[in-house]
Amino acid sequence: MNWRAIPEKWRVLSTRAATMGWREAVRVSLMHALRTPADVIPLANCNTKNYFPRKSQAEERAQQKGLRRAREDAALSLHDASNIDKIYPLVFHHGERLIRYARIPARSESRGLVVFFHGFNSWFHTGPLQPFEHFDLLAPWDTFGWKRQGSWFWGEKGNGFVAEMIRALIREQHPDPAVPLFCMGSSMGGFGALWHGISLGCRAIYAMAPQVDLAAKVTDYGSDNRNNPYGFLQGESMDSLPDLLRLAAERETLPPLFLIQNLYDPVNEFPAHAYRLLDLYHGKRAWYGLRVHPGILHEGDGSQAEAELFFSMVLDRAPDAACP
Amino acid sequence: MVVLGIGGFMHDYNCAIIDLKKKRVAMFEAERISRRKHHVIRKEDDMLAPIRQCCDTLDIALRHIDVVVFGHTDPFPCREWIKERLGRGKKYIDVDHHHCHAAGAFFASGLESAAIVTLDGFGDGASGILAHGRGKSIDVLERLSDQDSIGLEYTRATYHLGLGGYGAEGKTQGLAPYGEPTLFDRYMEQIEILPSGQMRLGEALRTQASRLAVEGGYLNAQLLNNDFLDEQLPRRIDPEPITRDHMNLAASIQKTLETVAGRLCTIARQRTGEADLVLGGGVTMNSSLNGKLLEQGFRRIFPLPMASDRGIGLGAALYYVHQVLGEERFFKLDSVFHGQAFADKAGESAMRRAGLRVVKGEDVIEIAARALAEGKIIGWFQGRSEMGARALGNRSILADPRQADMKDIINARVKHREWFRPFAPVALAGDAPGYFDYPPEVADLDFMTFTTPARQAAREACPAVVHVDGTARLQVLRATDDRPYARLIRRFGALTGVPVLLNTSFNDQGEPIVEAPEEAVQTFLKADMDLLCIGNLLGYKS
Repeated sequence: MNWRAIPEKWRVLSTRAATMGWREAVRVSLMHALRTPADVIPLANCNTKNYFPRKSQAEERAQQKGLRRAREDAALSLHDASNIDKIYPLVFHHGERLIRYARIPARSESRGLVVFFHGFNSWFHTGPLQPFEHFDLLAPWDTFGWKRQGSWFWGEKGNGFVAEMIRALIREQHPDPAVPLFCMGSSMGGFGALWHGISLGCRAIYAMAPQVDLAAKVTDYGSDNRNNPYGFLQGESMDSLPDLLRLAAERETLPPLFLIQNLYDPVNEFPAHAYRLLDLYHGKRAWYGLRVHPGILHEGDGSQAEAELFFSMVLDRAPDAACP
Repeated sequence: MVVLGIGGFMHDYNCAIIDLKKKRVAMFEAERISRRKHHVIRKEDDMLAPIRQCCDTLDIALRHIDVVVFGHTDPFPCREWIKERLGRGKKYIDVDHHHCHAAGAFFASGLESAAIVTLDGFGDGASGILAHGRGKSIDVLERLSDQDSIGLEYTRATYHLGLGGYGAEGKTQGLAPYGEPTLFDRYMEQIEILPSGQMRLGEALRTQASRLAVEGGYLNAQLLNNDFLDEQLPRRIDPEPITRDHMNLAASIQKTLETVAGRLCTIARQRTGEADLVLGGGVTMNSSLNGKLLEQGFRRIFPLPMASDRGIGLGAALYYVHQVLGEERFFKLDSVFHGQAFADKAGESAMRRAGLRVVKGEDVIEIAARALAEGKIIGWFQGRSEMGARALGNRSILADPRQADMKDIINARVKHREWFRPFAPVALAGDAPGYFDYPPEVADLDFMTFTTPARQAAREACPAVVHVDGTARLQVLRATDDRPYARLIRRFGALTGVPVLLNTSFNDQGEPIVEAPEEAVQTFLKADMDLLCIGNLLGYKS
């Protein structure tokens, strides 16, 4: 019998039947036959409306309204900034310093640990912290840096002590290297997620509107050194700042990255920040996904739910990939 | 006509209903039902619960409400929610936030005329007013901008000290006596008070650059920072240690507040020519400030016991009834016991469900007094709950003030709170002057709204209720008071020779005061208390 004469779908079916039995093989084959593009690209499951830049004005207005509503909800839940310490009820001591953090277990069986990095001044671009369905969540609170509002999860005055604390905290909370580790964050937290995610070789990173080139941000403020939170990071010279692009360039492999960026983000301009990192990813043929939408503010439409989808997709597609 | 006043749309949501025909008033706070301290409105369902409670108290239905008075003019979305729920057919009125503070304090004071000073963080664009109250009307003399808010500055200092923010200012007040006001002069260099009563804060006391707020996207945190504090010392993050510098900052902001508010009150007296003073707004919950005002020579001083936004519903309703409708005054706040009452049966059921050993038919007063005299800590739950932040004897934790270490024991084991926070004494009018130095002709100390100096007798006999600076936030019960609370103090005095008790609110750290017997039992089980008294029942841990 000429094996090649059998249609491919029948060959696949018989191969499946040999490994999983006829009943399961038929079910899986049917599922594959009926699936839509949304199933093929899991990320299309969420925010499909925002996936394509061509939108009617009505859609644009609806999207902006949704964003505004989400912001208002977040603002309402964080109405009293003075109670933020209650979001981070646990305390990690490292040397003479301490850092507060939250550890929220997955709602159901955990598939890994997600480290969540907040934005400057404790801001959550993705709304209030929620538990993941399938991932444990670790969220450190960066109370260092300028006016103790954030040190980019790195340090102060050229000393990267906060990064060391974060690494020590992750080591303590993630003792088993077989458990997949992920990082996510927005803006300042986006930098934190990239810096720590790439340093630790985590399984995937989900970042929104991150700062990439901190040296460029220092000069953004011109001579206003007093109100320059980026200037608070550097020591004697610019060289003392954490250089994310160099870190990424030095790595042989980079974690899969999904990045969300407003095209006209006034805080982190796309060409000066995210684009440069993606260029590096592109050069190294590392996996990345990018969603650019035509917003004009320093925000995005990302969410914890979408991050969970992305992390799950990474695990589903490469369940046995090397862990950090 | 039935008038509903509601407010506290940013925090401490509450309401009051006035039945004009029957001249009856009911009020209630949402946090007592929701069990979320300082209840911030999150969804529509939250809105009606306290209103229904007030209706139950007055035995009326929601449909009987004719007029709804909002204690804010800012466009909070929850105003629309209320309109949808109560129906568009009613009359809806907006009243300026500080007018409500002033009306709540003045019309509840029973004074025929007085100078009125209100101070809070901010509301409807103002941080306070100076006003003249006469009969049924209030005339505003000066309105202080929310850009120049001494109340918000106090909250900022609290935030900077890592003690919390809104609602935690009492901690700063408690910490202040441990420090020296080393920053007082620098504070005052930044504050200008004009002869009219207007106030201007300097550039350093204003908030951080708006550019960063936009970038950080967090206006609320922006409000809680300014250059002045950052230049003095770095912000403390709890649980970092409290140092001498932190104590000095607390002392400095307390002295600054007392100085600024004192001057404003003096100006209000000069401009109105009144000898009596009425205080409203959250700042006047600061009992140390009120205690200092006792020394300023006013004939009478009345701070509203629920002076913060907890009393804004009452203020809104009173404003409409007197200022707008011109109705004759009939209301004087003699009691804050406007909450729910529960039968002993409910208490017994709650105690039994929790596995407590319940004893009935005993002399509760005698057993509780003896337990206190033996150094036991008791939970005391009687009658209707109190409105406002202070437990005044119906939802209280009581202890023996003679033991010097009782403060530390209750802070650590019962209330789970900071070591430096003091506890308040309660005494009867006949006994209190022997222990505490206060002018009874100037102020009623029924509501624990003043801090007064303790006499040597108090320092020796009841050290647990005397703060490190030799003061105490005293509650004085009238000599004629025959509530179980007063009888307990009398009996304790007869047993020990010290007719003073330590009284603190019946709650755990971060929780509202208990309202129902179930909550009292839960708190009793969580905290290291020995005896629970609910009505005529005694409950023991098995």
